[in-house]
Amino acid sequence: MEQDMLVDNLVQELRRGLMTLAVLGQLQEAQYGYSAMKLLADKGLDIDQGTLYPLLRRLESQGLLQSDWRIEETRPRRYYVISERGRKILPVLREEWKKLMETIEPLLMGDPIPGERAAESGSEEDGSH
Amino acid sequence: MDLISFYVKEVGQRLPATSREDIEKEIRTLIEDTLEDESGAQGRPVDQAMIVDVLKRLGSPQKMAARYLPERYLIGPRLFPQYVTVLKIVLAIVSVLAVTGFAVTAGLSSTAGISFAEMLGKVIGGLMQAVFQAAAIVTLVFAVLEYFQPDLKLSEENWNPLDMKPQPEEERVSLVGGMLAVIFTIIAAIVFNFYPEWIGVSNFVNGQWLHTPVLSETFFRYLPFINILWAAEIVKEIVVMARGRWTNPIRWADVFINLFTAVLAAIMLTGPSVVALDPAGLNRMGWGSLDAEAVNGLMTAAQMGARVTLGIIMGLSLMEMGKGLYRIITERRMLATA
Repeated sequence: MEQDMLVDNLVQELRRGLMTLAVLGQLQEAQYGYSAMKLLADKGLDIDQGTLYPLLRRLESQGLLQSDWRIEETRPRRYYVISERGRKILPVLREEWKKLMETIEPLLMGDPIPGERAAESGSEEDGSH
Repeated sequence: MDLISFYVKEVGQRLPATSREDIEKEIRTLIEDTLEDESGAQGRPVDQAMIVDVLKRLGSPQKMAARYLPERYLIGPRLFPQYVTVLKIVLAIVSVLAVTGFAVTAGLSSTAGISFAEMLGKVIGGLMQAVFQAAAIVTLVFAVLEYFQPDLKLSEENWNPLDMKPQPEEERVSLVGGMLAVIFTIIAAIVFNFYPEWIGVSNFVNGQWLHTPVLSETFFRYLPFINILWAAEIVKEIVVMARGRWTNPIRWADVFINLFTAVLAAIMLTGPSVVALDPAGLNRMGWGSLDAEAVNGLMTAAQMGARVTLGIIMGLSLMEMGKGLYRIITERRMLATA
């Protein structure tokens, strides 16, 4: 039980920064909260609504996204889209992520359990394609 | 009120007023979006069970609101270890002082008519009050420091490993030491300004504290100047802690504070006495009436004590001032030769 919680926390920590990267990458076109969640889910990235919605706001307050209320047929919705600043910063983050991947991957190759390593590298390839 | 409105209000209550309305509106539309989608996917109209499910996925209002807020601390992780240390020291000192004070007074008190348990109750009550007040002051001072943390972080950014070279004891800036100085100065200021009757003779009679003040009217004419010096001392300590080291302007400020302290102590020492015992007050204290000779003896002793204290304060201030000046001069010489 305690171990599960520890793993949960570690996974959350790993995911936290990457969610920013994924959201910025997917908001080249304006989305409202729920549609952004759907969009990410369709591409294989499950993110809690309770995590995504506050994240959108935070990124907006940091100037990486901009938003506006749009009146639509059923109800008004708040649309978010990457800002000028976000556009400038995203390639920097992407480059950093790429470098990290290239550095960390070989480090994990030393994993003494060959079975698990094969399974892990397999699933990671599935996710990136 | 329906479940959704209730949820949205619960979240909104925990958010700052400036963004509350907007976030409430947004969460509501997002919940409606989710429900619309769910209802389409499940092929049935929205019902209570569906709403419960969607709200569960969003998480409790507390959790949801917390995610919208930046992490804020009254006292953050940087200051917390020093906060605990200072709190322990201050509470220990205050407890000892309070217990001794009460014990001495209890020993002198006429215990007729009061049970031991009642006395003990009073002592514990007084101790609790002293401890809570001290804890409140410590917390407040640290919270203020936390609020001005940007300054502290600034000094951390300019941090240079070479600054870690062994420094003489007086050069070192200790956050705990500085905090203790600030807190005890504040406690002294509060006592002298708001509870001056506690500086005097106290006696516990018939379940009630009686006080005869010792400080004379002359003392209270000096108090505004003493307050200015205390305020200057507190500002100086906080600046030193925020900077993380002694700079020349701070040293000069320290020299002037010490100079004015010495001058004020000298004026108080040579002028009319700052303590006075009121014979009528003493006679009301429950020790029975004292004759003129006893009152005179007490008065002389009190005045002597005050003069000695002022003399010590003057001497220490002059010494500190000399040390400060010496540091300013030697540092200049070191810079000149470097």
